[in-house]
Amino acid sequence: MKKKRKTNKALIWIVLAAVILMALGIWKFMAKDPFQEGNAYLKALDEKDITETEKTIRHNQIANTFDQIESGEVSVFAGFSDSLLLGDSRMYGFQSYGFLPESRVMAAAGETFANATDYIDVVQTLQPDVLYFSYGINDLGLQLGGDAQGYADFVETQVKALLEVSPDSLVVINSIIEATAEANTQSDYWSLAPEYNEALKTMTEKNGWIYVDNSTLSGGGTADIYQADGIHFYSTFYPVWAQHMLEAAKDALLNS
Amino acid sequence: MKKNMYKLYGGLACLVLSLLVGLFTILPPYRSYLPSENRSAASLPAIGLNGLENGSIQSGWESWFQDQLAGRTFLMNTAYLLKKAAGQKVINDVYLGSNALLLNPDKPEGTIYEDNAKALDDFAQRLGVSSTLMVVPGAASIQTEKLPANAPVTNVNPYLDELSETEYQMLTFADVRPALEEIKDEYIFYKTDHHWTSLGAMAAMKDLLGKWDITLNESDFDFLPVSTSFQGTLADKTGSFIMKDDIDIAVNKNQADYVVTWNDGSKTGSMYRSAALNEKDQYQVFLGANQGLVKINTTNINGRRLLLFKDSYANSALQFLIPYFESITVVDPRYYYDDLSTLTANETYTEMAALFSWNTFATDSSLSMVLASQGDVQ
Repeated sequence: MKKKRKTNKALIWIVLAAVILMALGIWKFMAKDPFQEGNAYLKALDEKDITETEKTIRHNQIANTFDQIESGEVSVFAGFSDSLLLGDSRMYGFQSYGFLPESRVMAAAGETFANATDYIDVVQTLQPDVLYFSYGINDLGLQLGGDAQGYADFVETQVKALLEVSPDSLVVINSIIEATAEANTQSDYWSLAPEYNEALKTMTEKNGWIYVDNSTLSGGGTADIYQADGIHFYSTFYPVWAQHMLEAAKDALLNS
Repeated sequence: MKKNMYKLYGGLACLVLSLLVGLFTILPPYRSYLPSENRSAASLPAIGLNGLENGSIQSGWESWFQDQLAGRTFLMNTAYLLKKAAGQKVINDVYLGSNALLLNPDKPEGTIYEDNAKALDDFAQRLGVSSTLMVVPGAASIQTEKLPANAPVTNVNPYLDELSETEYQMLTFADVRPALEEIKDEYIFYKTDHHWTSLGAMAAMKDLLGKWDITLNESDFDFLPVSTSFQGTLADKTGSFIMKDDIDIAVNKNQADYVVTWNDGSKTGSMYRSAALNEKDQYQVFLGANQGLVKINTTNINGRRLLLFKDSYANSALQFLIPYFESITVVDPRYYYDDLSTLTANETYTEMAALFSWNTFATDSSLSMVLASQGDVQ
């Protein structure tokens, strides 16, 4: 009798313990994780694809830069902060006159489009938003590509090589800015610039790149922009040229 | 006889224990970092005659041994309990207050705080953008009722008053004390860490944003808990191990998307570093570890671009700034080694601010050095 009472007592304790454990389990199961919402928010941000956000931000920044340039809040050169300029001694003026930092201008006297790929590592590292090219006078003198079409084909190959390493860069190719008539007498080929420009324009448009027609600025070699040698430009020309390039690239930049 | 045997065994046990602790301490691997104290471990002193003469070798060995001591955390925790039981009210310049640890504010080092303010004003003039300075006193200066009775706390108010009363050309002092004192009974400072909570940061940022005519509505933010197990630097300094803090993140209901470009060039869509919640220093959930330069670009279009000089206090405050700016360029001068002209050459800012804890602003001259190192702002 006594033994039976003892067994019953133990059974009651076991059942009670089981009920408590079960209640605790249910409570634990039902209880809301206090960090659930916060952790979910952090996780969502961690996993967020920022491609579209970056695009929107970039678009806003470009639009803002253009507005600031227009209002005079910043200089026109602010529009080149994420660009890379490649070219010859004329392009080098952007750096030598102090308009743009050395890191943004890959240019030197005597260089031709053949030198553009010398900077492939820089292009790969910087991944510039825009690649601006301005070569021509030296290329004409050396008859790079043989003729106008051959030159345009060569330029196309060079640019595509750079785009291999920086595929999202916008390409802007300047027309060859003519030298003055007096300077043209120094070379048999410099006067061929208009013909070469036609070929460059066709090739550029075929590839969906941007061609900058600078003839309005140079007046075919008659404008008051040339130094005594009839080839290089006064420093005052550079802000005008920069503005012209930016205008040509504006729509493409805003829609990129 | 038996009593002597016990004494002998006891002595032997102590000796063996000491030898084992010593052995485990001197055997590699050695700690290079003390996560519990968020600092690098002392390195071995270089041996040389000079060191012997001036005693630096001895003190170097002492520091190294302290940092490498086997069972260090356990010993610190035990020491904390013993000191607390003995009625000690301060450990390592941290007051053992009423349900809180409160760091005694540093005394200013020379004129560093004045020099920092002056350098900010000069820089603002060169940049042509007005600057706002906010220096945040810690819990010991705001939640004074939590301090032990008659605790001889450094009074920072005269220095803050001086900053507030000084007339600068293009620098405005935003006195954060009234905003924090108004809600001093709330959970505005961590109990175990020297930083403010998201709630404290929100009150201060409401004040700061107000200086720029921006209205922060508290109801626009949801506070989401992400931890209840944070033990900060003050817990480590004292050895306290029972008290724990909650961490909430503040989420703006209308938060525009943003991209954070970190010091190493990597980019994310979050100012938070969620992995920090599984590490010792959980405060690093806000903006990660200290770094020189962080850029935050948002999809907001409001023409507001902030240049912010700061220390780690601003890390949690950024939650309340991001919603109101197109971009925020965040510079921690203690870790910034580049020329500031790279930030100002082709970028314009509409607002500039400096947000520092009192201790950093009063003892660290890196702000004035970084600001002065730049010649002409381009």
